[in-house]
Amino acid sequence: MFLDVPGGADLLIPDGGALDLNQPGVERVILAPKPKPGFEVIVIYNGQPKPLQVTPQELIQAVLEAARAAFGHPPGDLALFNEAGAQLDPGQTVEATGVRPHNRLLLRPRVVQGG
Amino acid sequence: MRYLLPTAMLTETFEHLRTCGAGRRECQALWVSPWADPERLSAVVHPRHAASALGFQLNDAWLTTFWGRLANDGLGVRVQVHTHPGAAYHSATDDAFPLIHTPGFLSLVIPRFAQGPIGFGDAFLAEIQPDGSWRAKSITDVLELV
Repeated sequence: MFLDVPGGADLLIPDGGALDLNQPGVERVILAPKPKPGFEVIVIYNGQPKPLQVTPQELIQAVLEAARAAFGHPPGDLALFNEAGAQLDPGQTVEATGVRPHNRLLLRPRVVQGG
Repeated sequence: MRYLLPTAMLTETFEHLRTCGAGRRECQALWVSPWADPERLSAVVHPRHAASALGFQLNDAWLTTFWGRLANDGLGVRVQVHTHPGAAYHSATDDAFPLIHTPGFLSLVIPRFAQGPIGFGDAFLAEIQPDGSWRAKSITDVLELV
């Protein structure tokens, strides 16, 4: 449930929260889907981009597992890289690795070789 | 899936393998196609790599750029192709470090540094399975020259 703010961003009324209808400007409330926490990034594997919802405090390991699941759990030694080519440390958080909304993350093998 | 491979792409692939490998180093090429029409192989990509007579390794920075370019262009890699000094087979290194791990991805090995006739003579094709293992595949079952 949201407090309707004409011309501005509607305010989420949290679970168990209260609304003082005596306050000026309080005119109506609206029902809408609860916003998902965090933000969206795009994960790329073999040329296919897929959106993924992440939170700042989430570990990269959890993001990696969600990314693998999004592509059908491909086997192999895959890791997440940013577009600058740095591998994201699985033990660090999304926030600590500098991942921002709408960033493209590359799900790819760490090493490709043959012999 | 059965892929349509233009003859010109096979010729171009052998040119890369022969020129880059110079008859003494392994080399790799990649065959890509649009996600909108995956059966129709559309281009040969020659990755930047280090190589010796015993193997090759893709350049990491090149791989990062390539990964983004695939998405920008709506393309996917369907087949990796590389040479061996002698007989064609899938080595333990080939098994463990492919570019793509999705089941159905193909890996074609060309013998004798691709110095033989252009074609699939004595070549070896493998397909990755859901558990990450590789299984030999009949070339004519999955690649059709057009």
